Amino acid sequence: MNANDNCLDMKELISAYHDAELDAEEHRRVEEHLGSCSACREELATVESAVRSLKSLSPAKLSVDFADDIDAIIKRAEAGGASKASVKEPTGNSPSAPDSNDRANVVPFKRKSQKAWLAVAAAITVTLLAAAYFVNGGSGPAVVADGPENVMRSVDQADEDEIASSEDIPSLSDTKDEPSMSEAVAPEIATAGGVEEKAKSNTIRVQKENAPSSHMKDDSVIAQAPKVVSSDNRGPRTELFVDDLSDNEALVALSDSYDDGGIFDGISTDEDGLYAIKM
Amino acid sequence: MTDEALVKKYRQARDMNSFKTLVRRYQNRIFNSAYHLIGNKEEAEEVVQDTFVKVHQGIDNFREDASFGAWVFRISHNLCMDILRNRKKRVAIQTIPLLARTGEETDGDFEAGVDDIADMTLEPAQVLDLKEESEIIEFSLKSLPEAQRAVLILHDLEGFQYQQIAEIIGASIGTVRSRLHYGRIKLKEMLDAYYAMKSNPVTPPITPR
Repeated sequence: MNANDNCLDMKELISAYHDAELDAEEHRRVEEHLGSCSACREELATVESAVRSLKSLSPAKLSVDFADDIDAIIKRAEAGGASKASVKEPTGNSPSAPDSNDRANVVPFKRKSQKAWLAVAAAITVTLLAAAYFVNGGSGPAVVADGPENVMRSVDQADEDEIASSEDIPSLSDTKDEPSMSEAVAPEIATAGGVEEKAKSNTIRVQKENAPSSHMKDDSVIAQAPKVVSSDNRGPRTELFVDDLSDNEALVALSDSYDDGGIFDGISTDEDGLYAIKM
Repeated sequence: MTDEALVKKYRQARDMNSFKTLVRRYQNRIFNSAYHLIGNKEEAEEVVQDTFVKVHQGIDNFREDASFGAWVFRISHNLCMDILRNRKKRVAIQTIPLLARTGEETDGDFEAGVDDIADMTLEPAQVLDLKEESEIIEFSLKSLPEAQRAVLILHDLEGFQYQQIAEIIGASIGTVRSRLHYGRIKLKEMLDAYYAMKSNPVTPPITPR
């Protein structure tokens, strides 16, 4: 038999021959073939060269040592899995279900709303109020969620309040059935929405009735759903909030005195929001 | 102390130091192989972490007569393949219509078609940018089909034997042998072509296959 007739069969064995991965009989056969076939000797040289090139590579090294942190990594992974599971729950809702240590309130808002048109409408409302809101420094929502006394404090300490509310979010998760429009809206803006959630819809209904079927108004309320959840979470605060809603005068007064032209109030509550918009 | 002895010690006493020793032994090897297989350091780091999380979860089911190294690499290999698979799906969403239009030879093989697109080709200018020989070798390795690339990495970079590689990738020894050989041949062809292109940049672009 001509040596070349065996080449196809032999070629595939050449790497194994090079790696000493053949049994004695196969090894002998390949060796014998190589002695008489220059093409296969060339093939072997090609294999040797390729292996040399690969072995010349410096190993990529980790920039960190995971060994010391492996306990934490494992715990975090387990906790993360649990968190994911809760988010996937059909009933669950509030986007705030995620890990408590993270900025949980941020996560929900990144999720896309199922009602895109609502998001668009909310965005329009938000846009109208955006400039004034940002000037305000984002304190508006937090104020609404808090009681009257807290409102004043929030105006001065908006940042602290926001942080506190975001921390509360996780526990709120069980409330929500409604697709929150608010997800598409900036978290801060959503604050006013606390209204919708909080009263288990009662408040919302009232507000809608009061609000002359203004699309803007409805949208803004819906858009604010997220924060509502958070306010809901704080049992005591929720009650305060309801009382505050009934006390429109105080809010109106606050709005009037506010330099930003009532934007603050408009975002804060439905009624006040209407007031602000009308202004 | 052998890997298997460390595993046993961890199982019996939940001695975290034993587990950490295993992590130290394998973390860089897993990172190196994952990086060369998926081509991204951040994802490779995630693979390392996820691998040890899975090792921890499954260590009680690990057979003592098995090779711990092969088991760990099997886990990391599967994680890498998941990443590559997801990547292909994303690429496919964008390219399948193009494939259908241009009549690429996919033979109905979804992944083969995507592979053709995913495989890289060096343009002359790119070759000139690869100043270091190691960069050219790494690029050539990345340009190989992933099935061949995986076997080359496991054998020539990580030093596993054919039988262990077969266990890691879930294939026969014959498949390992074949992929290893043709992968090496293809790698050398690419290297030769790139070196030729580097010395003569006007040479037309080279395709791996």
